[in-house]
Amino acid sequence: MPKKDGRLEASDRKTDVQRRFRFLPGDLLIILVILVFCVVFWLGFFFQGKMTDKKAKYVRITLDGQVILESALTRFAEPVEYSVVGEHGTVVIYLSSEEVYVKESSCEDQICVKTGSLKHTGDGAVCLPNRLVVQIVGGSEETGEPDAVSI
Amino acid sequence: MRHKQGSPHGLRKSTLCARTAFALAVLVFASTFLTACKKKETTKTGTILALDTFVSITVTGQQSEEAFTAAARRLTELEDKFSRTKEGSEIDRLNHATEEEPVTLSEETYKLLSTTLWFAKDTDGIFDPTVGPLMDAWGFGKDERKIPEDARIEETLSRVDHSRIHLLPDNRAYVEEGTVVDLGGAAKGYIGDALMQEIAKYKVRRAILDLGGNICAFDAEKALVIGVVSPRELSVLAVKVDLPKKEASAPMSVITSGAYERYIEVDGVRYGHIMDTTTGRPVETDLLSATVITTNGAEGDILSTVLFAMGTEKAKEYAKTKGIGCILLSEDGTAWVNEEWKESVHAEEGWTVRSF
Repeated sequence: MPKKDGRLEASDRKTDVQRRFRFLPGDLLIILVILVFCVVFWLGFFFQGKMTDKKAKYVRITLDGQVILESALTRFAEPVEYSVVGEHGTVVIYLSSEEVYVKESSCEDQICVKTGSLKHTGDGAVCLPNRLVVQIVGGSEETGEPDAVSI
Repeated sequence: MRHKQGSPHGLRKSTLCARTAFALAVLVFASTFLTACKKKETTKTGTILALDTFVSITVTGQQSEEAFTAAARRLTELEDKFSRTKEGSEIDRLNHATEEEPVTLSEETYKLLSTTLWFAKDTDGIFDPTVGPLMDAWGFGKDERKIPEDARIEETLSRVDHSRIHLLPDNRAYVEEGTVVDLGGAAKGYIGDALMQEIAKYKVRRAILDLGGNICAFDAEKALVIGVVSPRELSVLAVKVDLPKKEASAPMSVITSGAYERYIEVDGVRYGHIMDTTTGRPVETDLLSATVITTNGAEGDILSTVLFAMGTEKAKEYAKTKGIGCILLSEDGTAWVNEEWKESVHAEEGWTVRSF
């Protein structure tokens, strides 16, 4: 292509752009489709949250027989690594709204780590050397749990 | 050039495609960007066995990991300073110091010791940092829990007296022979604030510290709800407190004292761990627990003990004159809340909030 043609195109661009980006009936369709998608997704997430809240599962962690953590799994929409430093060593527990598992443990046998994923009410992992128990327990339907409790 | 001069129909079709692609690209970009931004904020939580109890630290923010580590390090450092039982701690050295050879304390230990002494004087010994030997006599902190003989109580009481602690200039101090200092009644409250100061150095939006039931917390974006346990049934709450949203530099502590957690039981009678330094026996109070809501953890720790020991009427009067935010749970199921906090305290089943 000769250079001359290129220049001609450049000088034409303004009107060209204007012409191209006129609001066309099709645009409305696209915007509508995207909006509908957004609403559907939002509703989906909204109701999913509501449904799971109703039959909340709780994770309970005890160290030396004392409950050190009891919390609804729904609280861990963002996964959390919870480390427990006891007299006998350190255990790292992975907590998410989907599953709970012992990620690392200072113990020798690693039975707690090998237990793997805990998902359903009644599932549990035990680390005898660290005297730690992780359990999934059925929670009540109560809402409005406090963020912390003063004893 | 040729396609530009094509039919209007063709033009529309190609721009339609381009527009759809562009719109989708924007959508995808925006959503990944937004989730990426959100993901940057993480929560780090852990429980550490310290201060003879469980210390839980929960931090949320962009630098939660760093803040957690800094707080845990500071916790160890402070425990090594304040512990009465750890050999070589500042308090241990203070307890072995004499008038001839006083100990030089760190600035913060000296300050905390001064604070406890100030309150000991102000409350006429209702709070006393030298009460340790009396608690030992009753077997708290040990396995043998029994009612001590009167002679033993008499002997111990002669050594329980805050005026036997002597503060000297230049952070030096000593105690008279036989007197033992224990900062236990103020240390957890102080440590809560101190850990929060470390956390505030990082990008953190929210942090909750639970030091064996003492709560120190802040949330920069929303109000926090802190429960106060029911002394009648420890698995349920008596009241809930709404803490206003706060920055990391201004955390609030909710600290409770009661006799329901540490007590000895002899012949069906319960003896609580909070001692009356005039009789040498556990305090007699009509309160089940006293909770202080404050921006100063050390003071809150001390004052919760003081209010609990005073009993309903005296505690109400003291809290009023000093302007202490508090919740007093009495035996008849009343939760007495001072005027300032009454809107923020909500009763659970079986309890009634009344303001004074």
